[in-house]
Amino acid sequence: MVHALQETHRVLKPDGILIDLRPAPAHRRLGIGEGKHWQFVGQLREALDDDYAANAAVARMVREGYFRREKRMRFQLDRVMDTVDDVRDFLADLDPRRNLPSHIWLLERLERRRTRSPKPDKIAVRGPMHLAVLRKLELLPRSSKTGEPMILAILADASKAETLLNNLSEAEFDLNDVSVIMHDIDLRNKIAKDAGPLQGMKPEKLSDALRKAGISQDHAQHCSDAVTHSKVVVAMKTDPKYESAAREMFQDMSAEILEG
Amino acid sequence: MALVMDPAGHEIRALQKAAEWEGKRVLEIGCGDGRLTLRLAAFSPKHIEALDPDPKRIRLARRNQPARYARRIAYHVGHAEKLKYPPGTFDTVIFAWAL
Repeated sequence: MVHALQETHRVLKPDGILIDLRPAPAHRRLGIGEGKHWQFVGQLREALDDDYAANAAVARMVREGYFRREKRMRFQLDRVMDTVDDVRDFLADLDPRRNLPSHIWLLERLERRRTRSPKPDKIAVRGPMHLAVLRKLELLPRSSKTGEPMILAILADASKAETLLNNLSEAEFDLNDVSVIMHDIDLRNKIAKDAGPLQGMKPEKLSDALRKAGISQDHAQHCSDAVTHSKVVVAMKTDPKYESAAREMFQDMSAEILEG
Repeated sequence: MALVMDPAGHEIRALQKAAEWEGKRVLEIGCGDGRLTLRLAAFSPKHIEALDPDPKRIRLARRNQPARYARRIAYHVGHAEKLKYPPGTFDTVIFAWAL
């Protein structure tokens, strides 16, 4: 499911929307009559594992920054059938997907109720539906080592980078999550240690390494050019919870943040 | 089987409220026999690509397709895990009972 949602994210335009429409995780109820005249006969005992798994997959995509939830709706949906045989066919069709136990008891109860009725009422299976609207978000670049999102930015010079590191440290961000890439390795070693998602990176290999990490060719080349021209590339692994705080600190240093 | 889905129209009303459809490029995943696809087509999207992994259902959907929607809807056998479209193709993707 997560892979399908990632594919969806890929084929959506920036700011596009994903609509997730499916039965809510609740047992459907069967009754006779329609609309306001519907009367409960019994409850289906279908497995709900797939529904919970789908909820979990969507929640993960939201947590990982692929989508933002915009709307949620719940409504009732009826499937109306004419005969008990129609219900039998409906249950048979449902079985492979829902691992349905025997519902003979329910069909028999339904037969009895309909026999008592002077005219054969319609039969309706009723259940809640879930509709969610999710807005596509642009992804942060991801670390090739851990797959975690990272902030990737270019700073004007070493002094800005040093101030940024001090600010991050004061805000209790872990500097082991931060990589600083500069042309002058000695100067880099004075202000920062070799750590973070680009640990061990040599400036001349930066473009290729960023490409391998899924960064666009333009962004990767832009970073490489920046380092050649004495600018500083900073990559920082972020927990989505604290990403906006970290971003603000980069912005305070007039950093150019590269989006995925 | 005589089965009428959602005679009260709750589902289609919720979808209409959920998004702007007119002029949009839409991908429907899990279109089945095209029941919902035809309803969405009435909202005047620019185009709907409708996928289902079951070739039988896709054949049925194509048979059910009214001539007026021949250019607006394209049905294909396909899987959500491997979409054959370039990045940034669609305004809206709907998982129709498919997630």
